[in-house]
Amino acid sequence: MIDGSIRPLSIGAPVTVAIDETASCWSSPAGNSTYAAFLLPETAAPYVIKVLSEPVGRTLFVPRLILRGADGQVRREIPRDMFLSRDAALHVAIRGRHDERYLIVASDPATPGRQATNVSGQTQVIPVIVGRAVFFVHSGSDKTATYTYAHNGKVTITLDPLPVVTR
Amino acid sequence: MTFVLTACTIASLPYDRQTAAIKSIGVVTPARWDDTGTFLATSVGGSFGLIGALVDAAITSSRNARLRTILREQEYAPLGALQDEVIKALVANGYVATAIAQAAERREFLNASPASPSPLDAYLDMVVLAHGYQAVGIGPSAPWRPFVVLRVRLVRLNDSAVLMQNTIAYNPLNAGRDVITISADTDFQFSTFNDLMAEPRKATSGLKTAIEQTAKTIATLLR
Repeated sequence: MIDGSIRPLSIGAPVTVAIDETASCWSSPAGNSTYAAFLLPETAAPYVIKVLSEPVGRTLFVPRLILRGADGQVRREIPRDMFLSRDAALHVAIRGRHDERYLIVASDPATPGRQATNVSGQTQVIPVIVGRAVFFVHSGSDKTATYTYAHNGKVTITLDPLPVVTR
Repeated sequence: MTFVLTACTIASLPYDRQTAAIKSIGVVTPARWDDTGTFLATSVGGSFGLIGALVDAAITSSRNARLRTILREQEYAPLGALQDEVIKALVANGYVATAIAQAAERREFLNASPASPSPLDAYLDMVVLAHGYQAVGIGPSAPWRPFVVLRVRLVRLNDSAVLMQNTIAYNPLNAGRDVITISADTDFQFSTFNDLMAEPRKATSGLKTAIEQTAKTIATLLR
């Protein structure tokens, strides 16, 4: 199923890929998807796979993940609705498993064409000099943007060591 | 109530349901830094030093009291609802989930396992940093919308291993890169605080939606 290049991934070295008109395409019973394929590292150390899809203009690539073993068999699938938002971007973080060798980031066949609106707020502090005094003027802005889900866009894959969190 | 969301994030740790093998979860009473409140991110007073800050504090205190009165009259308790909604969402995702009662007045995650009425595999601990209604400024272009900011953690009971940890913000303000955000439902927004006061049912529904969406997001992290 995988054609096109398989990009190797390594821990601590994010890879950003443009999924555009040259991307590989895959046809399945669920529909058509563009995809990019990656080779996961062989390592005993636990790590986290982070996949981020950021808007390109007003379009947003809607990802899902397929993880395969060295034998090519599907080990795990992460559907589109497990991706959560980081402001306007879609993001998922999963723990790497040692029996998985390939990561396929594919577009979700059902959502392209739909729209989503993102609302967020930001504040700024601007120093204003008046004579010998400095005033810090606080202002806020409310941002509303609408994005169209698409088969094309930009994804960044990052592998990080699994953080140690203790109670 | 002032805080910067970027300073409130903690290390995020993803969950692996298959390897964790957790079947039953006790959802602890959410901890809270403060009662339901209002947050105006920028104001005229904020630019005029101590006097401005004192004026702002008095106005905020009045808004907080008015919002809390509305919620009491509408018989809606946001943090009790959060616990219930998380349980509902976990059960929908195939877990056995029950409530664990715990004092809410704490600012950090539990550092010891809570007592549970029945045997459980893990407990879900939530610390609500802030919740209520917020606006980025004054005027129709900066409407009041509900917001929730919380930290959440899942801890396995037999060895106290932290299995999942994240920060979630509904209607985020200055969210950092490591925060899961939920965009506010624009059906529930008010141009002024007086407009919010004039529609208590809608104001309550807005906060209810924020709580429900936050609970579903927590459940998604544990799918």
